[in-house]
Amino acid sequence: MTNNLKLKAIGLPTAITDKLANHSIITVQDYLTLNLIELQRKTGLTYQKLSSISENVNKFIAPLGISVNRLLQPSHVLFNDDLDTFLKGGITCGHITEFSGAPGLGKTQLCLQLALSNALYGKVNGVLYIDSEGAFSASRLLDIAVHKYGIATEKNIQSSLNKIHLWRPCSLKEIVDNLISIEVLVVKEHIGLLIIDSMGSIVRRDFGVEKSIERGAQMCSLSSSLKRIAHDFNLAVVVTNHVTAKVEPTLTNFNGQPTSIPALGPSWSHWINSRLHLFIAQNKRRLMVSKSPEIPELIVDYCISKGGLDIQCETCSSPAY
Amino acid sequence: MATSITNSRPICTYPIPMSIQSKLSKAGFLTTGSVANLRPSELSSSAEISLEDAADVLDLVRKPNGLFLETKTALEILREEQRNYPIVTMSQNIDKILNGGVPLAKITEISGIAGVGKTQLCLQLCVTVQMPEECGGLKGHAVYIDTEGSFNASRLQDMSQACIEHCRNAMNLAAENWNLASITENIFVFRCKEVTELLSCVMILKEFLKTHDQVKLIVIDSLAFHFRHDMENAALRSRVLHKIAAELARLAVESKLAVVVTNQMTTKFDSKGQGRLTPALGTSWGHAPTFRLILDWDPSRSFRWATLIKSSSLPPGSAPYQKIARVVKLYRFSNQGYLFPY
Repeated sequence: MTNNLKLKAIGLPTAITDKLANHSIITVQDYLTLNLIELQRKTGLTYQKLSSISENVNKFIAPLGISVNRLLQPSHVLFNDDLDTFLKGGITCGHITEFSGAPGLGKTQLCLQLALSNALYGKVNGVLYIDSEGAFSASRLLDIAVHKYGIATEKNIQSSLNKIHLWRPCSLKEIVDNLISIEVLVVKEHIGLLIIDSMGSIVRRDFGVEKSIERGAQMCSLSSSLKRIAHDFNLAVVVTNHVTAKVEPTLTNFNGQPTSIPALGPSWSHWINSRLHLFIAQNKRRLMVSKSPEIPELIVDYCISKGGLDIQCETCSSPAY
Repeated sequence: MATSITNSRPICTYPIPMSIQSKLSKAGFLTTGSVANLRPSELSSSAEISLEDAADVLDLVRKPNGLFLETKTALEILREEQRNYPIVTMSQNIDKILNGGVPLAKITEISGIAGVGKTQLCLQLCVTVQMPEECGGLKGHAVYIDTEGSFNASRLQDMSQACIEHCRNAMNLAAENWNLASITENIFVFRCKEVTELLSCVMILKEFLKTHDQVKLIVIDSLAFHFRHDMENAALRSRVLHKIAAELARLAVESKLAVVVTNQMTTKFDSKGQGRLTPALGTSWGHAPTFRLILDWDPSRSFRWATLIKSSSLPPGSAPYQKIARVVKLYRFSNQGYLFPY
């Protein structure tokens, strides 16, 4: 949280911080958003003095350069399933990944499956499942455990279910207000996966069309905070989203492309790192990677069985260009 | 005390014609100090020499003391611009609309809807800037400021591999001249998680470039993200943006490097209440980048378009604000990056 970091905390002499505080320049953000001439006018300090202060502040705040080699091994959260191969390793840690799709296509199934497989086999300990639709079902988890992963012993199931922590907030504001509590839980329970099911419902419930600017601001700051948590603790963030109808029905799904688009607007699409879109085309359920920094656009058919979501690998096809 | 020594240097030691020398000494101008702070008109009237001669004298006297304007003629700039080869993007069509690639010493903005390939293009530039000279590259290094956390090293590696192979096959590059390890070594990634980190990061780049003078490309992906939530005050936001833009422009010109920033798209409502997608950060930011490129999907989603909406080097009158200057059919995604234009 460098925005609200006090100037006092970064090792400047107290004489200077007091002087700046008199002119209501208290946090790093206050200081950095003013230019030197304005600072000079406000505080009466000399230009040389201020530029050396700025240098200290910048040096303290700016992140260090990282070489690419250190970024080469991104860790993934796994489905322990064919999906991992399809997604080139699974859900990337440090990213926000979105599952979008029409109701009933299997967004929640994907989330449950991911949570369970992570609790069963994951290297990290806990999963935080934020459920706003009331769709979470522990007995469904049990089903998946038995049918997909063939886990039968009670002890195994108990210990893995114990790792999944469920939280049911009522509004977007509640999530934003509890970000620090979330961070505390993340550290305490060694959370490696954070799921919000569903972002679409929680946002659309709180904000109508008339409040779109406020909604945008809150969502953007939530996404920034989630990204920061994801990066700091190297955990994967998964959110689900609703869909809305495509406004221009010019092209019917002649090449198997979706006719619905993810909800929450174009800006939100920028604020996530990758997106998996579920849709129905040509009477088949299809899963598409529609945004990802590493995977080219891919479409695959899938079906939902007792064991959860299955991709049919033999019909796995590249986009029909 | 160096200044006083040069100030006491006698006028007669300068290469000034005798006729003017004598007029100057007659009027009592014997040392540099006595002339240096006069205006040409003052000198010409008090020493009774012509205005042109006075200007010549002052020019001679002031230059050794560093008192002159450092100007360059347009011809010199042209020569420089021709020497600064742009960074090729390896997508023929984008190179074509940008007149060869992303220009050095300029700020280029890339905007587009989510998932259209802005980050991919940036990653690709980080690779192509490092191509050896014999393949049309700059053999430069790259700085990548990542605000969204989307920097993907394994994708970068795939692209690098494809680019190296392309150079070896198509341009007969010797195998030992360029390899994967050097590519990943020469990209410096800064992950900025908040707006203040981004601000400081841009401000320390000057210091950073002193020790890394081979950097030819600075990428900020994306500039818009933190500004859209950390700064509610629009006036403050545009001022801080201009502070960043000014610093970037200075770095671009001084170190002769290309600055590429990405921007997001937002919905703007016109007077009729019709929404339409435009680049974010407001109109005033639009003045900062020299080139603005918009990437977009074709409605059939089978290929993408790149549109140049702002450029300073188009023929006069052909690029009014927001009018589409040139549109080009774009690449197709492949595992190798954009190497194969559609």
